[in-house]
Amino acid sequence: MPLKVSWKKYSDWSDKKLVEEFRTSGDLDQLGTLYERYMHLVYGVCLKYFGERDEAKDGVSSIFEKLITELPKHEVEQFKSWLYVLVKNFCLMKIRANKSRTRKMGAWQNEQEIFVESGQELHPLDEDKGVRGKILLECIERLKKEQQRCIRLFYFDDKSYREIAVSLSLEEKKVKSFIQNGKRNLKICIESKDGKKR
Amino acid sequence: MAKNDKYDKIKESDFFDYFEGNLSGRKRNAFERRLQKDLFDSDAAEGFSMVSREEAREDLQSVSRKVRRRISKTRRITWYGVAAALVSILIVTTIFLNVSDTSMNMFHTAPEMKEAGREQPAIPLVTEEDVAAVPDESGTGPELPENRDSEGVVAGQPDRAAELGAGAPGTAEGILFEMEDADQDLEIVEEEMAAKKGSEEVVADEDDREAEDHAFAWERMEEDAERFRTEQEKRSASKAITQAPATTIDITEAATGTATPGTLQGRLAGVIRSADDLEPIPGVSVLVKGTDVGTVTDHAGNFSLNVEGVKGNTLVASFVGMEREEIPINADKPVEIAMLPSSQSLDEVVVVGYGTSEKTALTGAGTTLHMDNTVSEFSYATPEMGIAAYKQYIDSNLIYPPDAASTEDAVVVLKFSVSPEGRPQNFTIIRSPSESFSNESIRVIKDGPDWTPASRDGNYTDDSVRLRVVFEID
Repeated sequence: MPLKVSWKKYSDWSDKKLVEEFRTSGDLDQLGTLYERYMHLVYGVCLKYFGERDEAKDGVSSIFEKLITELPKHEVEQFKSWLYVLVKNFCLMKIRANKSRTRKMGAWQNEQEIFVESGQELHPLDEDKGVRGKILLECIERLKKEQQRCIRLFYFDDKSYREIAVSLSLEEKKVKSFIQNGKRNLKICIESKDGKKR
Repeated sequence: MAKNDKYDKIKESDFFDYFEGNLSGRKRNAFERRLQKDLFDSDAAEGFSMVSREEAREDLQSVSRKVRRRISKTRRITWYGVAAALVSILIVTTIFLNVSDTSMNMFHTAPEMKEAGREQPAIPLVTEEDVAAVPDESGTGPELPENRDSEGVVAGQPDRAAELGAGAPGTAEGILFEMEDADQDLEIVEEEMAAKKGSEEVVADEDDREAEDHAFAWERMEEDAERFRTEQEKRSASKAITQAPATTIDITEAATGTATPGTLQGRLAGVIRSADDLEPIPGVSVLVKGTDVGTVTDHAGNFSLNVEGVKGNTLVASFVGMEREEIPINADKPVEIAMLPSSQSLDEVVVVGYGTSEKTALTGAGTTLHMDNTVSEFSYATPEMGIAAYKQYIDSNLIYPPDAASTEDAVVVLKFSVSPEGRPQNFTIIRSPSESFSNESIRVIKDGPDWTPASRDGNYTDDSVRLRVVFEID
């Protein structure tokens, strides 16, 4: 069948190429190839927000339909991040449509569907380079005891949450929370040091 | 992150390997760090943790099939479109020819058909060229356009029509013979159009778009239907809406005028809704200003107050997260108010003067996507030393005013802004039992440690902090 043949043809293409080609050709096989790469992530996120398998499955197909019309309209640098924003907006809007407004305001700030890629700034610790700058190390020193230990074990000793939880006698949830708060405090500390330098 | 590197992508099996505990410590750490890097992956992981590996696999296979079916449906629609167009051509031709008996009429119909042909270039174009395309698929080569003798062309059509399951082969054959003469004219028309035509691909594109239009017509209709539905809902919900650009507090029972001016009579009742989506808001506190006569809206946003003999002329509605609203109580007509969301309320921090503290502060930062598609990073003002340490500071330094009128626990709610240097300033008291409490609250903050001011995109921004200072008698 012609379908299977063309999917193989596109499977070597980069995301960027598929996006560009689809924009001019409108060939759904190209879009399909691209979408299948991330479909499981779309499914996972829909599951998270809807809490139901059937609704998640419907979400995945609806989002594909949406892509057909929306993708050609936007300048997309990184398809994966753009797709994530689209999926989140889709899920949030669906939830708002379903639930009545008993929750407080402020939970969903976005009034419109917005398709800006979430330019996610990586935390210095999460960067691939592996070079730990002096400022970062100084700031780590200043962290509170628990946060510091968790961050060191996770990022420097490559220990998993579970291992850290066991060795520090904490719950895994607590470990994650220390790491999150630690990262946040590090960011604040780094920015303030950077600011003072200038 | 290399998006195109296949090995860098987390597969769904990776997620389940992680959840099922199949990985070593180091691999777990590597996976966890990938999640730290990419919110998409970590959100998806949360979703996956809710199902089993088999369920996920099943679901993904089923959805994948659906998507592929959707893609091939587009192609099928194209051919159905072709078939439908073909059949309609044949039927139209039949009708024209059946109307004519004599050659006189033929002369009439011939130019008519020419006109018809010209007026609808799209349809014959599609049919002829795609009839050529169809034999391509089945391997007979693009000879049909060459084969322009009347029988060849016409013979081709009914065959194709039958193949495509369009039906009505009987009519087609009937036409075969009658069309022989008229065909000459048809051929001329066709040749003209073939000349005008570009390559097959152009037709294919038109087809695709046509088919897509079919496919998306229903989607658009659905969207329109939904939009219409929500409009309807809005309209029915806001019967009392006037020009006022906000949600309404519908006062269904207006306070009646009174003999003694300034004193109310009877009951005051109504519904309070939110500005932007007209949803009723439960838990809104509604007060007659200057009195302690008030109530709270119920789960459906309704309230009802007995205001007999109450001296007051303004109604005050307040709710966390919304701007406080004051409405004059008008004896004659229902009042409408807007409850707009407040941007400041999220800053609320509870600081306890004595004893143990409770409320945890918020995370302190957030990304906002604006209506104009810009993104900004915003972080709230926080005490430089951290919330916990700041609470401790207050704890050790707050002094219960010795001249206080009462000797019970008191709460002061105030608001201040943080200067670029980190100093609290511009204090406003929102609620306080007495001036001495207010002054003491202001003093302890003013003389206290620095705050890190709020910032948007790394630039200082003047955002106020709302603080609740609790005085407790030990």
